[in-house]
Amino acid sequence: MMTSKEVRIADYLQQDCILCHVDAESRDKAIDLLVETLCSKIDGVDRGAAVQAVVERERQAPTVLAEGLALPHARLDGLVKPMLALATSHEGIDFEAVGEEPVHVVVLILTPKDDPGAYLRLMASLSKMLAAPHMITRLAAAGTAREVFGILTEGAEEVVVLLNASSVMNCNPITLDEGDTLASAIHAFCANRVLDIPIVDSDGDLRGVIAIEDLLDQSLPRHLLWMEDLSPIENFEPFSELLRKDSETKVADFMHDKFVAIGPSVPAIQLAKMFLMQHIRQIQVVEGRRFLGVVNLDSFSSQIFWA
Amino acid sequence: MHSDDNGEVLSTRQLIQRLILLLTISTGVGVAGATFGGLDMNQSVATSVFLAIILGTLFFWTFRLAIAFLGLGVLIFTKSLNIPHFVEAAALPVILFLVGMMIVVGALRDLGFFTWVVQALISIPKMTGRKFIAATSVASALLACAVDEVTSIIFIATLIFQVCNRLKLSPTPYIIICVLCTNIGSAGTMMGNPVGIFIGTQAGLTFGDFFRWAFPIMLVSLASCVAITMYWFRKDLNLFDERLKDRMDRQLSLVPKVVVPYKRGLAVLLLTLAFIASHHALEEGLHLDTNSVLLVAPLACAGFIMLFKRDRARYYVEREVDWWTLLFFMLLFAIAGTLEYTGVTEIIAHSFVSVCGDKPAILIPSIMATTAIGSAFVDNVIFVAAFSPVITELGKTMSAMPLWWALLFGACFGGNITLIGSTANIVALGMLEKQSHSSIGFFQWLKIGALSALAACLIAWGMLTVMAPLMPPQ
Repeated sequence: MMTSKEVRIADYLQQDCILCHVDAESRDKAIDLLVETLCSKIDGVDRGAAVQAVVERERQAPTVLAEGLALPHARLDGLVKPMLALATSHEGIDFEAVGEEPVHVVVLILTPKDDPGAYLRLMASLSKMLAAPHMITRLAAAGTAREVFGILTEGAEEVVVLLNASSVMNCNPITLDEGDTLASAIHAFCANRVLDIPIVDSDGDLRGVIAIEDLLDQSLPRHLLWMEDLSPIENFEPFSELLRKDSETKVADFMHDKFVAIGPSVPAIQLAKMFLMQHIRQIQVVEGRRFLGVVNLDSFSSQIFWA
Repeated sequence: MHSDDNGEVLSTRQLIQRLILLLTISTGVGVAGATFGGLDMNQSVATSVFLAIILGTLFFWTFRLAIAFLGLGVLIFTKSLNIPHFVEAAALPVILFLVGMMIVVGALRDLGFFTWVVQALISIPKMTGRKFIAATSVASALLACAVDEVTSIIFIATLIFQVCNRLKLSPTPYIIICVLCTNIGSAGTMMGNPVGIFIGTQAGLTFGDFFRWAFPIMLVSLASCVAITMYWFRKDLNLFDERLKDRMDRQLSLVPKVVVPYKRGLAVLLLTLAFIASHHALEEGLHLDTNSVLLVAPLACAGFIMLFKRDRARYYVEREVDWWTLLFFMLLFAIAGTLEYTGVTEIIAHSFVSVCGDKPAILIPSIMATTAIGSAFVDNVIFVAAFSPVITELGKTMSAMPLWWALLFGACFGGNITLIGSTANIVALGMLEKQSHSSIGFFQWLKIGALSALAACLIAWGMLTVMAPLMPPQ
């Protein structure tokens, strides 16, 4: 896995793959248009399969990253190198993302299936470039493909993208406060289907992590686990006391501080090693003590192996 | 950087400095012994290698096995030791006894025996801090008698952490109390500590001898240790009471109440203890060698356990047996045996008698004090291995049994003096650092550790002096 590489958008996006002010109200229509544009320039890629892959990925988790911006993507067999296509829309396209406004800039990313690094670098590079102030507004207002291309390639042409923790982390995970109750933690675990929740104080510092096992640990004390077989133990109501006091007990009583934390510049390959060797499923990303986000094993793997 | 088991991290420079110091002292003593003490070449080499092992455990706890391997190589190359004597001195039966006990302990944990003990301690009716700590510390001592000190402290420390976690208390004082009591309890039987079984085999002492002579002294010493430590940590115990009351007022228990099935585990332990306890009668009835049944009893019990729990047999042998420590003990016994083989211990015994005389009233406290102070800083097995041949030598002209007990109590009680004095201390401190990220200062431990060790040693000295005339000549 590459961790650092110079990414030039111009290497992957051609001017004639930029569609300005497309007449597409729906997500699927916009994706279809962009895939059609790209497929006309690539041999050996099944257009139908490509559309299906992108739409399927979008259904799993919408890729609306920022206000007015969507980055639908898929990894395909038969591609030699990554390809980009971009569409803008005056009226906005409904990307079916809950709570999100219609998007005005859509960048389709197709990458070779066997090159996860290319996909991650492109995503990181585009995210960085499109996060510039007013960038989405400027792109949406541009009248021609040439103008859009100019905006995207202006300034430094080469962007050095480090494939590191900050580029793969979730910046906005579910968190809890030390003063939150056990009841709210249980709700957060169940409603969001997560297994680990960072505990962050009012200054934004990471104080600990509460894992679903911490709740079990309170109910199944360590000395019971010494036994090989617990099945002879009958009449055990492990959670009754825990649940009876759930509105009084604070998560600070349950959280642990044995989490794995790293800085945002730690390379992704190091993250992969940590997941593998330390048998963990979540890594906290911090700057000093300040909490920045988390890298979860499932989303990390998904980015590496899927999209 | 080189990490030490005790958490100490050595730089390469420190490593080299310590290595040079180790080689200089051990070689220097060997050369001085040859020049001024009349030691021959083999005696000098044996002394140097043994000293290197002692210093090795002090300077490089992590590398102690490597140093023992190299030391054995030096002894063989210099003809200070040959293979038949190595095999004879390596105390293989003692090692196998420990292997058997470790497997039995693994099965006891699987079967819920330790869970039951812990659950029973937590479920004491009308619990108070003093009641809980007194019961836990006595249990840790008795558990050490029944299995071994390290096993005992691992389970008891887990209980302490669990309770202190619930009550939001620092576990440090309670861990110290229990470790001190565990070390004292380990002198009660020959299973309590590796030095117990080693002394038993070297001196030809039976389980019954331990029960008759060592166990009562251990009980009185334990009572003094419990009283002293509970007074020493009285403020912490008051805090324990406050937190416990607060938790009880909120209708929160310390742990969920469960009925633990313990009968099979208890049966395994009692059968093993009964087998070990009856070894002398069996040996006499079947005309077997002294202690032969004693040494194979845990192995036979382990064999039965492995037959009944076939799916866990390999796990027990591979994971429950501390092969690293047992290998170290084996080489240590062999290297200490070289001191006897080359006649060094005879010279030490004569020197000891010339300094202390041959009166038990003087020799008992002298041996106990020397061993206790030595065991405070280096592994007590090393001291006992070195001293055993000396006691054997002394035993040729006087009754050796009181001296063996002095050696046992000095080695076990001396482990309380410092925080590195016994394996139980090191294990408990490691757990404490891991669990609560806190550590105990050397002098913080020394104050209460030395006080409890002094009280226990004085009691043992007094009782041994009274009991010595009643002991049979060996």
